[in-house]
Amino acid sequence: MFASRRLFLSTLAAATLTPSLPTVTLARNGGSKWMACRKTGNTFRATLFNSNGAILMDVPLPARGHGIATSSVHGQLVIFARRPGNFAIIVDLASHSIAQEITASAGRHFYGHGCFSQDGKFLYTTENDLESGAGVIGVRDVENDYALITSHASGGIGPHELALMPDGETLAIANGGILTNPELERAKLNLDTMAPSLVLMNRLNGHIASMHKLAPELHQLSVRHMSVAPTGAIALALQYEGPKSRHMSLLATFDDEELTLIDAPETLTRAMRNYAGSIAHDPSGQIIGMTSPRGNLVSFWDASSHTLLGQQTMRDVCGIAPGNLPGEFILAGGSETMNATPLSLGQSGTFADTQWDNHMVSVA
Amino acid sequence: MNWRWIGTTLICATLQVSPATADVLKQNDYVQFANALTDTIVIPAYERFAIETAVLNETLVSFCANPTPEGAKTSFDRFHDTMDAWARVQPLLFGPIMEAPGPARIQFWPDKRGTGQRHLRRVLASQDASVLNTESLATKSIALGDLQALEYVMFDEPEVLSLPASFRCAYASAIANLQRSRAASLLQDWSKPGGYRTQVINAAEGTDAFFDEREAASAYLNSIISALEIIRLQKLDRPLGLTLESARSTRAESWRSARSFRNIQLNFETITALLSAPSGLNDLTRKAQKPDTAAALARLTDKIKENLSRFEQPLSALVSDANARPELEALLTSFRDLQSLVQDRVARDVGLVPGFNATDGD
Repeated sequence: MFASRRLFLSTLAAATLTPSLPTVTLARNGGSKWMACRKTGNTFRATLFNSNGAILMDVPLPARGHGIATSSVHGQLVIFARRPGNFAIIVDLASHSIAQEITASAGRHFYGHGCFSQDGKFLYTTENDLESGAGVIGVRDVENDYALITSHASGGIGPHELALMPDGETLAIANGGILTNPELERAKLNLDTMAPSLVLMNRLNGHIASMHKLAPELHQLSVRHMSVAPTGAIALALQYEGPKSRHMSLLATFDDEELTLIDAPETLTRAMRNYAGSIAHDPSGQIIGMTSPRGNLVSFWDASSHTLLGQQTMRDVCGIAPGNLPGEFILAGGSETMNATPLSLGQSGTFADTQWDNHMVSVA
Repeated sequence: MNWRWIGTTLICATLQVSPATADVLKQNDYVQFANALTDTIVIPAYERFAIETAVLNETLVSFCANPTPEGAKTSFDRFHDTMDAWARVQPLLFGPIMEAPGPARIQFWPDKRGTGQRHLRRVLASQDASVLNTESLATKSIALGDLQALEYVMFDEPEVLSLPASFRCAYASAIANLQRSRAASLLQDWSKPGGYRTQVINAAEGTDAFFDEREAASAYLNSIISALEIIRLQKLDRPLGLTLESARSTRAESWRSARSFRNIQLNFETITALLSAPSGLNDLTRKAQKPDTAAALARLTDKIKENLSRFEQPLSALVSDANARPELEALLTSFRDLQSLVQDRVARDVGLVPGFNATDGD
């Protein structure tokens, strides 16, 4: 935006991303950290904070950010532009500095999410091939300045979030199904024919091992975000593009064989307004938390039985990540972060002039 | 670093209810607000657009059959009438116009990658007859059948239009005919039984388009915010550039027909109508017992209206005029102030705060 362009250029000159104030205090309960993108004033940042709400690092972004990929192997993380952006910023956690900035190759843009291989050597990104409109998974060589090595067809249109499965070899890809083209802003071009899918892909050769769809009459439920439990079970957060007079369930699960839409009470589906923004498992992997920013609520589900455990209200809540203890989550919405369990909610931080963006990750 | 798209992000999608909603406003206030604006502003604007495109089409068809200097003048006048009508519709960024592929099917602008121009030049160079048939034109790239293409065909070499049996004239007629049909569809989609007007009117009961009346009211508020942002970032900031050296006159909207400011003025007329119409946003703000906010809105809109009327030369000329830039920057600032006022204070006062995370599809 107008002001942010000017500000961003001047901010880039800053040598360090560590704020001089407030004083950094490590959390008593283990020192876990989280990172999420936010808007502050007319600028966009990706911000690392601790469980006391102290800011540990503030990375200026040229425009609105979205997802973040982390790797514990080399201590780098990648902040992606919100679609249809084409920047991704690599941050070195140890030195708190921008290591590199990469750009989507010509004729492509990022969809906002990516993930590393377990050894941290490869970065996988969801991308749009503008000419064909086909979804693409970009494969980048981390040790060679994140150069694009190859690309695989994602098996659908509009791949959004992707995640590495516990086997270390399979990528789970949420093909949202919605065709867009940046020349037409964010217009959705194929709502009548959209066909979202969950694809399991061999990350080494791009071979699609399996593709899973909901029933044909549910084809307007866009499969967009996911969280993978240590068992390999996948929880998916959906967005419904059909008539608003239908109130849809928005949680789907995948347990090895089938993509299943989980029933939810009508009061909840009505409140969620056909839109789930983000999803995560708690540290134990036993509980799923799913946020609904339009409904200002987060719902919690048993990861095995898929029963609803509870829900909490929080304004504009979207970012969700595992907390420090089993059963705990960290939430972000508006200018606040909260600690939450299915049965409790408490403020953990409040941030001046902040609008927290869609996603949050926990950073080891 | 690619800056191309920075700043094109629209504040869009559903707004949500702030928990701090002024209890003063009742369900019926939102219903009245959305209904009044639909019937007094939206439907008339689409009616006018439908009429002007039909008149333009008729004018061009008869001019091409019998090109005369008077006919040429009338054709260009009717083009401007059509653009006037479109500029009045342009800020209404919701409803049938947003269906794929969006407002670009009426006007593909900004054409940041020059896609439209490339297609057009190819068609004009090869005199590709398939664009002369409206049905086949409708199936081609939208950049070949929109008002931007029409402006190029008519204004790039206006004298060619008047040549007997000119390709350009037939092509201009075909575009006008396609736009006539699109404008008619838009009006129809709003006003037919069960159409978008009905969706707004019945929003309180929940419809296919709206969960409730607040969402319908939000569509209007949101539209005002998005329209202000488009004026600011696309219509003013892009041609201005960061410095005098980076100013680009051809980035001004409708620069070939020298009507960039007129477009903005008419956009702003619609925006002010949404504010000042009976039961409009000013009234809603007053009903929420926020007379100071309503007064601030009135002050800022008056100021912008006055600022806009002061520019006499086309925007495309002024962006690279060092003396004019301070005034343009001031205009930009006023638009930014108005957007902030509506987005922050007015939205809060009337209980319709935009949800940052509620935007479609992310």
